[in-house]
Amino acid sequence: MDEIIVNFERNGDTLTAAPVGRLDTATSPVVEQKINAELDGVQHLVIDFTAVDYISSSGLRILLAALHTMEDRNGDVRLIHVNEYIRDVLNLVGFLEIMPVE
Amino acid sequence: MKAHSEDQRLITRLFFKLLPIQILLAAIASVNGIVSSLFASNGVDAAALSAVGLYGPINMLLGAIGVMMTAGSQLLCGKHMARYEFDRTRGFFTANIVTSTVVGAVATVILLLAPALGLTGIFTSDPEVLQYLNPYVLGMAAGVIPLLLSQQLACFLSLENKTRRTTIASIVYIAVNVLLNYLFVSVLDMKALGLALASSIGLWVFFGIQAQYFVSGKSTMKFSPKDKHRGDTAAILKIGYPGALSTGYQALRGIILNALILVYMGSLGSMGLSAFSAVNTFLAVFWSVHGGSLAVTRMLIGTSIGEEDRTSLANVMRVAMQRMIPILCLLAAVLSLLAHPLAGLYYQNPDEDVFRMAEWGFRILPWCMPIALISTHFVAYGQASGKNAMVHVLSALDGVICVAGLSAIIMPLIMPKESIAVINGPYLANILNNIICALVVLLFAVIAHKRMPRNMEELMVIPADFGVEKDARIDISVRSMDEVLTVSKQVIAFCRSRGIDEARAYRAGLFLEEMAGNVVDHGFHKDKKHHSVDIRVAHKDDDVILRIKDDCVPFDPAERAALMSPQDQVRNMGIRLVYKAAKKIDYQNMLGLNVLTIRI
Repeated sequence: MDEIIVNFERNGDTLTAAPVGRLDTATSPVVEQKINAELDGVQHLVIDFTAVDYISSSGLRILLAALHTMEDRNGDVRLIHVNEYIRDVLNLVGFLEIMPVE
Repeated sequence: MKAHSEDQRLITRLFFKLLPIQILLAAIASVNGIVSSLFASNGVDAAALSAVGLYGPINMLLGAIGVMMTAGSQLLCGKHMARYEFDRTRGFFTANIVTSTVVGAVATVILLLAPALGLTGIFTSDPEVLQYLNPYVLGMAAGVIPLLLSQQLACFLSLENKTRRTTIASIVYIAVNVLLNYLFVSVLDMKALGLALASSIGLWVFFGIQAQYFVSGKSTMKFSPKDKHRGDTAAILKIGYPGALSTGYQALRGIILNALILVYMGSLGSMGLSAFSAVNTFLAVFWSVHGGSLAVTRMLIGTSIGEEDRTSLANVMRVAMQRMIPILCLLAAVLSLLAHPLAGLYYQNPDEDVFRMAEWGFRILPWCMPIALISTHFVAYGQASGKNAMVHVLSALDGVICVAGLSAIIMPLIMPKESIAVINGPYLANILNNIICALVVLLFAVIAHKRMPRNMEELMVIPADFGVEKDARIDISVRSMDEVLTVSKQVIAFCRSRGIDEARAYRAGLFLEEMAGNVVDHGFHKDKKHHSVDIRVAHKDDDVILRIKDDCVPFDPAERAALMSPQDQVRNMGIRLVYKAAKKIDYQNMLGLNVLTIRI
């Protein structure tokens, strides 16, 4: 699998994960693994899209999986700094209705 | 990822997938001809076999009409199917069926009236032969309509990837022909009429099995008078008539050659004709390999031209030449080596002149097959691409001028005069004819480029404005998900370089990952065969056109999308995304390939 960098910032029970690059078929499983490894004690997951320029259905699936994981522990997920093209894709699959996107 | 070689591999696989059925179809006529001649000579007598032989030119004429309709329809329907213009495909289908039926009906009436009007006397004045020829013509008249229509339906079934139906129909036809010949000739002693009726009824059965598909509601091509345009029949005939002309030339060639053999071989002339006929009749079965290759090439050229795909077009011809010429050389070598026993199938005494003449024929004539491949396939390409000058010149040269002309030159030079050696004149003339025609193909390219051609595209003289210009397209094949992702990034970069807005560039890369990725992930593993996905991205008329072609099991993404529950957000998210966001999506399974075209 491709190596993808994910920068993490922890602030109490809030974790901000900032992947760098593409969330595609190759990189999405790696990002998912890295995020899951940091979820201990996290109630609020923020995924920062500042350095993400592309997402495919594989990336969308890990967002959905993260949402379900956080909901199971009564937590939440939000996406920040999403560019207009990724927002467009999120809108097409109905994600804007199920998670906050900024 | 190599665009040309992977596309060539895809074309090669498709070529050999389609080839067997086309060889079978081409061989059917000769197999049934052998069945009829065996029952004629063994079940009736030699005069009945003469009737079968005399009907030959009529069969050739009907065959020419059938080829004219088939060639034109294959190319036009293939072209319009590739462009998803199904109303035009239905129009040409309808025009074909109507025209074939009308022509068949007219021919039937003429044949039914021919004995009464004395027209059969044109072929022979021998009353012993006429007593068989007249009922034979009447019996064959009953099979003219299904003969023409079944030839057309076989072509349309191939375009719809339903060749198994034609295979089944062919096998049933041979079985029915054998059974009915036995019943009518051996049991009921119906003689020549029985021979003909067995063939005609067999043809109706053949036609019925094929036709059932087109009335079942499952076919893409449907009989639809409202889609037929006024000029459709003319368009079919315009493309196809060089093929009919070619068959007409060949009939003329046969008449001239027969005359030359009789003139230059003196008292040995009738034996020379017998040997020449025996060799040609036997080799007809093996010429079906060549004929099958030609039919497949014609179909693939039609779709490549319809998709304006330069790479595939050149690869079709490249595959035909590189693969079929060696195969035909091998076949020719085997037949040449078996010349003595093959002559023995017809003539028992090896010391007889006719045996030796047949043996020479079996040594020399098989070598026509590989050499002829070049000119015949270039004629098919010329017909599809409007290179009328080349088509007419080659049809006339190959059809009659070269063989007849060279025979007329060579035969008088062979010594001793009026000896059995003179029969080698027509044999050698056939070989030289094919060499000359191959050189004419090269000559046309040299004239166009004013130098020798350097590759297949140049030999084919593909116009520079055909297809999308090089810098407005990407052609690439992928065999793994890593390659799909790499191409996805390349596509985004390509779109940006063409000045396409960022939103559409993004979608182009995304849709490619989703749809090509699906093929790699799911389609590749459904069977044990090697697969690749052929991708073309073109910038044309301000649209981005993404074409994804694969040779996996048939899969229509739209059918999958239609089955999805809106509540299920996870399954097939990629397909949903593409179907929601694309400007236009078309899917087709054509000639065994899944072809998905997405406009963004």
